[in-house]
Amino acid sequence: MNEARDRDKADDHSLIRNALDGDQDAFKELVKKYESLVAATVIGMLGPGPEAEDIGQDTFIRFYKAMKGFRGDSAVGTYLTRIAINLCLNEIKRRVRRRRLFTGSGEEKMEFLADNPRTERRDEAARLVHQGLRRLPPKYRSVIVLRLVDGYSTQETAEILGLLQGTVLSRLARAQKKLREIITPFYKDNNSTSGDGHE
Amino acid sequence: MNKKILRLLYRSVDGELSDKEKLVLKRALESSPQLRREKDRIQQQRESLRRGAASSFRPGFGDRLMHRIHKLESETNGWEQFYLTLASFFRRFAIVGALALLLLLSYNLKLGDKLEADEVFFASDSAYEELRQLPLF
Repeated sequence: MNEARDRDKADDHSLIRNALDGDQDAFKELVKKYESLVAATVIGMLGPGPEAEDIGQDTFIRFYKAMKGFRGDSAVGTYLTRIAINLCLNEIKRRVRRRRLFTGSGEEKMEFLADNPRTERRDEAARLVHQGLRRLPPKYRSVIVLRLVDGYSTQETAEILGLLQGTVLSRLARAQKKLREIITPFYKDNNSTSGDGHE
Repeated sequence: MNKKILRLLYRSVDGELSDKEKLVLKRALESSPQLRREKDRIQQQRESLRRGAASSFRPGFGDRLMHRIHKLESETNGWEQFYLTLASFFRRFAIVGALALLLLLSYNLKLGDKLEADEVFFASDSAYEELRQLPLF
């Protein structure tokens, strides 16, 4: 496991060296490799849409500019995730300010769980949970995205967010509880009409 | 549902309970179907979070990104070029100014009978008074 990780790190460093020597394909290779990770983080934090793509691009552009000084203390993926999460937190602050200014609310609308066949229903449930996720305060949202969506360990999550591991764990527990409270009414309403219970 | 037990349940998912807490939770789970259901819901919620994760941006993300990087680089190069032109333009004035100052110093040194800074740099009281006599002031 560690060997694979070291090999992966070495590959990334070789791609970075080539990119710094002006090989654009090497940088493109890095983008291809980490697009899914950055997309999961950014879309998990902000939801899908053009703003999420802009933040995704900004993440890679920041990395491109900082590549010269990249010492490789952390893995490229972790480094990119740290940039992405910080940009997302800034964007959330901006969005809340903007929405408060124009509509008086900083929340996006949630849709009720549709009465669909089982597999579709699982997808719908996943969509609902992700909509609920974006209703969580950013400090809880970031912990859930890193730990449960991106799959980082508690320790890695703590390092990325600059928190103590204990804080990550307590936020994670609270975040999951809050998320359940947010989405439960949307299941309940469906259950009362369809009888096909999630609960 | 007991709030303390519920908190233990949420903490347990990430495996951070002491042996004593594990035992308390195990007993509570055995005796409470409601708590077992809650555990299932937490697992389902975690599964939904993983399942609903985005795996990419719109197709062509890499190309759009590289296009933006090229654009940024050419803009940066444009500004760099502008600063270089400006610097080389003003460098000429700086060199001419330095030469003029050097000539002035040499001239004053040649005229003056003593080697004092205010004489050399035209800063003595008499030089200032002389300057004030000029029709410019």
